[in-house]
Amino acid sequence: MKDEIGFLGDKILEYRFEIANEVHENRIDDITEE
Amino acid sequence: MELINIRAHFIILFGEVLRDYLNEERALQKFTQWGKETEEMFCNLKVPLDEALKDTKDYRTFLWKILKEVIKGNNLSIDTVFEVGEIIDPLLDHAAYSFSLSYVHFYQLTLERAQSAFLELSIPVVPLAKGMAIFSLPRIGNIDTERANYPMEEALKSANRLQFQRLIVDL
Repeated sequence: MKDEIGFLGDKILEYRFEIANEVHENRIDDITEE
Repeated sequence: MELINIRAHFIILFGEVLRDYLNEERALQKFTQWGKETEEMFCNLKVPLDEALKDTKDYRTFLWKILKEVIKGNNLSIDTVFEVGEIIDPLLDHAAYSFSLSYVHFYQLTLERAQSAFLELSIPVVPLAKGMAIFSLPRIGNIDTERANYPMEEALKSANRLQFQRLIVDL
């Protein structure tokens, strides 16, 4: 299980900019709607 | 772009906690430190606290979106899913808490500095001639304890600094 968690950690690091971009774009959409 | 880099940096913390399998105490310290480091940055970027806190929901949603894809794509165990949930969700809550504390602390300091500058400007000691100055007491607004103490302290400091023997107090 420890290996699997480490693997997920690596994947988060790999996709950090994708996640950051999605958060960012979603926030911009929310602010625009408001 | 700067904000996206800040967000990516925040996400890195989760990746590192999982990758290095940090214990709860070290993981929380990491996020507390992050809260302290980013308070000034967020305040300077003029991001209101309520707006910054709204991000928490989106981080949770999009972190789990990626995790779900990876977990399903690699047939990871259900135990791993629960374990990761028990790590990530409290960390997100802690990050929001640490950030709020740091943000309010920084905001309070900024207000105190502004108040101090305001006092200095509102109660000026103006040199009139050699050894003589005029001291104008405030006439606008409420006189609270701090505002009442300031003229006494400032008069003595100014007397020392400007070496005046006579002080006219303008009431």
